[in-house]
Amino acid sequence: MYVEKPQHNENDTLLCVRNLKTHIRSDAGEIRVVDGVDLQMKRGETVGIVGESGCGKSMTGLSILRLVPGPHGRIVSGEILFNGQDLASLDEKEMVRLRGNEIAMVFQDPMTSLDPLFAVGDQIGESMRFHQKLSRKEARNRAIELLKLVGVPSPELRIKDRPDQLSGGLRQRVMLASALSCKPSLVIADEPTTALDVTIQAQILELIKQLREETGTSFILISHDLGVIAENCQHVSVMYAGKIVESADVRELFDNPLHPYTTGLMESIPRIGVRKDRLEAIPGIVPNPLDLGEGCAFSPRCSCSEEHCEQKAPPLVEVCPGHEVRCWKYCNHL
Amino acid sequence: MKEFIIKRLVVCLALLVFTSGITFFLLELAPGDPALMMLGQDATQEGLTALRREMGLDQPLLSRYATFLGDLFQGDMGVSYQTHRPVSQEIAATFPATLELSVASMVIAIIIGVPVGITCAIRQYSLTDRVVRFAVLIAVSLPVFWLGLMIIYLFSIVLGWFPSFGRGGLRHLVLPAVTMSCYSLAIIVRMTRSSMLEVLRCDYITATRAKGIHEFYVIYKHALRNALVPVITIIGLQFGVLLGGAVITETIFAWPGLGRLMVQAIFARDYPIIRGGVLMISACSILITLFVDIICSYINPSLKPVEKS
Ligand SMILES: Nc1ncnc2c1ncn2[C@@H]1O[C@H](COP(=O)(O)OP(=O)(O)O)[C@@H](O)[C@H]1O
Ligand SMILES: [Mg+2]
Repeated sequence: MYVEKPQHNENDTLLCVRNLKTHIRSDAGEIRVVDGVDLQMKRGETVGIVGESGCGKSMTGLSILRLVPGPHGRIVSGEILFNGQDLASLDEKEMVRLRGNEIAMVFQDPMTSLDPLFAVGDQIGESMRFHQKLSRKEARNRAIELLKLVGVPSPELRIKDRPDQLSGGLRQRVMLASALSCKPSLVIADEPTTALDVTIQAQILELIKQLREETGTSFILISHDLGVIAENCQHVSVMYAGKIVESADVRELFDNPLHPYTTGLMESIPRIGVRKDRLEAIPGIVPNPLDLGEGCAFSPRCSCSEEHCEQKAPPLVEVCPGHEVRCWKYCNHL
Repeated sequence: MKEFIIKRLVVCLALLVFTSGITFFLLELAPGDPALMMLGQDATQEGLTALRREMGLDQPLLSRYATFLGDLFQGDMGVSYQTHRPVSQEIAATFPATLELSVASMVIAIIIGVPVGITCAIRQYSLTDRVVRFAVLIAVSLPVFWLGLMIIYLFSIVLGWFPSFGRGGLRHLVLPAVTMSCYSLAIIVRMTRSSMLEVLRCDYITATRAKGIHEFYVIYKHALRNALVPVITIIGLQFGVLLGGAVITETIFAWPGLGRLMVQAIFARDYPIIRGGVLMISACSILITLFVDIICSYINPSLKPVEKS
């Protein structure tokens, strides 16, 4: 009954997003929430997307699943190649078959992303009942197994609870159990720990790391916190105003951050052992996505901004193999 | 749950006593003399005094209320001034007709209103949505008597499809039920639409879609159940409004119900009938509210009364 998914070889590309553009129409005009994003990841890899709130991280994740909020949001252009298949041109029926089954998503706020009226066991079992046609009883047993896997104590009792009877940490474990239920090859985790206490946050990140190792699932980990990304990802893309501004392997990015926005983000990470009177926040605010000018979107807040930065947006250039940056400072050889 | 229902029933009883008090004293404030109404303008002073004594109208207000309440608890709502038959009999003879009409109207309003509201929410800003919202605006502002007359004119006089007055089979029920359902239908459409819209914006709906659940189940299993509590609450309230508001429709369509009985009683200053009718309608409204609360607590278990273990 359980359909084996096609096996792919270890090193091939799982997901390749090219020039993804998602717009949301509003009264004041068309907002370019995702503005030409490129992402590439291999099977089994964990990729981080980092950036301040409002820069389009969630919309990127939702676009990959084709769940941009309607009726005003839509994917304008771009390719989303998943296992070589372009999701952007897939019909909705096939997309439904893929969601939760091949690509699952964990949302930011476990308080609001579980249906308050259904027992968590039913919610975990739901996608298995749809995708794998499990009976109610089989789904229940699998839900108990999954809750055990994500470290929920006495799962036989917990499956009958409604979300409001669980703590935030437990709910996020339930979300992870639900996401992993159909053994997807990719899980998009959108700020999975942002709404949680610090200690719970560490536990959930540890759990994600452990699940990744045990199941070999690839993760896209979205966060506004570079610290979270540093410990959990192999590759990082830094996002600003709907664009990827820097992209590199984790070590390379931390050893050699190039974009002024990336260095700004790094200076705002609190570090044990480094005394600072105050954390350096990046001056200024995230620009209004409606009146982005012709130039680099970061230039109004950038300490190295020059005249031409405000007139023309820089392209994404590969500075050294696997390290790309979108800044005029590194375009001098062009 | 049982304990909760019993507690609530006691509260309902208290509410009824309160309502009876309000009805009783308000009627006393109203102008008009029942004895005079019964005997007519050419009554003699002696006749009036005698009749007042016979009806107990010469007693002080509070003692009359006490008597009324005492009788009420024994199931005695008094005797109609007009027909001299017990009020309970008069109500028993007319209430089924009102109930039939209200239930029919409510069924129409729910069967059409809920799906239309859902459709509008799913297709917010579409042409359907805009047309329906405009229709709702018109429906809530149409006076029932005017709507009733127009419906009679069109379907009974011009087209001749349905009878325009009296109670009989299903054919007699159609026009008054449609007239009466119009307002509630609009209210239900509006409430369903806004409640669904609110739920559809929630994270857990996106999360459910992200699990690959078929859109039909996303809407009718998850979204609808979450949106239903305010809709059922408004349906309960509307049911009470229908029972009380049957007065106009019943009069227009000569429907032999409680509403029409009460209108006649008001013109005749037939206090016992008015009191009995008001009490009957209040009792129904209060019971409906209780019933709604019980249904809602099944839909949303967090609304269930906390059980002491
Ligand atoms: N439903 C919506 N309508 C209009 N604008 C939206 C909507 N949702 C998000 N946005 C805009 O899209 C941009 C990106 O949002 P989002 O992807 O949620 O950011 P992030 O996840 O990085 O915090 C923001 O500027 C936000 O204002
Ligand atoms: Mg977000």
